[in-house]
Amino acid sequence: MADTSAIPAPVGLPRTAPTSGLFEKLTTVLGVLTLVAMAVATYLALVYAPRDALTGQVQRIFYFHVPAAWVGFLAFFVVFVASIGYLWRRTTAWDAVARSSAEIGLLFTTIMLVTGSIWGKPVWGTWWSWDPKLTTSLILWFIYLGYLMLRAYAPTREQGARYAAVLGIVGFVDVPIVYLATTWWRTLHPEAVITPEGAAMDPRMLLAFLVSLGAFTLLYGYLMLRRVRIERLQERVEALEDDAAYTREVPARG
Amino acid sequence: MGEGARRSYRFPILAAIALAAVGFLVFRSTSATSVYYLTVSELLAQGEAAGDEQVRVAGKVVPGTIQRTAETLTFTASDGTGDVNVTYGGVVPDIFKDNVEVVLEGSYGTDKIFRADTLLAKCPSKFESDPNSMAGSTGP
Repeated sequence: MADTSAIPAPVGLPRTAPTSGLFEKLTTVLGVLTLVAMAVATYLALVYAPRDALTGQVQRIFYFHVPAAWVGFLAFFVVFVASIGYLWRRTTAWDAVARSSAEIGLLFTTIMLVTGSIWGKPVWGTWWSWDPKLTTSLILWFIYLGYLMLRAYAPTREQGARYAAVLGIVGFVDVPIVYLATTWWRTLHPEAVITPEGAAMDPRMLLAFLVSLGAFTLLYGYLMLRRVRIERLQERVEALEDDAAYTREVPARG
Repeated sequence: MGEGARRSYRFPILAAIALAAVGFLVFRSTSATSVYYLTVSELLAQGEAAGDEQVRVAGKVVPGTIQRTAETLTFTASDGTGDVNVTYGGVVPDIFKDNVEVVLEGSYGTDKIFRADTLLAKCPSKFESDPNSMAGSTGP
């Protein structure tokens, strides 16, 4: 057999640096912080915060529903920024961030829709209604489901990244619409509970809410670090597979 | 090449389905009425023009007007300027009581009675601790 070691590898393949010990350590620290924050938030939400006078215990879903919605919005904002970055620089790092953030955002949007539905049944009297906030939220969910489908079915990784970046920029338009739906239109949702004038809730409820918001944000950060790392490793595996295929094919051609 | 060929048309089909779903939702939310619900005053202004059409109307339950019989529930809903008498025969949400804001789906008849098929409660825009309970106590 021909000696293949002399054949140079194709140029331009992504070469991810091996994990630095420091990066792994920081990720672990963030993971532990997240775990502690989630535990404290759960305690505050389920035990410390007082029961709501009108709707009772079911109001506690608020401490999970709103932070889940916030993480969804944050994640899609990151997709928006990373998509611009990708179209501008065309580097796979931007693309890895956009894809990872879209997946996490879709997960938290799903949590928002499911917890909202569970909350809606006892309080509103229905699992679902076509009010503007719910409808635009469901559209948001479909946009990022479409985003991931676009990537999965695009002919090449590069094309998928390019199409998805466009959708990641255009699709973000729906985020402020969902957020402002209660201000613009009549809906079943209350108007902002927390306004610049203050929060219309017991201070203990506010504390539980803010801690939960922080914990969810940390969880997003931790999941992002892990997911982006997996994405980069995936790219590396694909590059190595291409390398191997190239090395196998060349002697046959020659 | 079979896999590649299948992929090449699977993508447009799925994209079309996703677009159709988004289009349907936008149509659904904007076509029926330009607003999600009317206020009681807007309903009264429409009066019989509304006819047998299904409309959505929101108002507060006027304290002391809730009357339950074996089959139906009657109460008065108000938006502060207008009042409407409502009959409803279904299940009410847990928080249904005096002063709660409700969204009703039904028709406004010539007898000036609103027959609701659906009764939803609007979320209150504030939370208050329950004075009758210790923090975190069990119960509904």
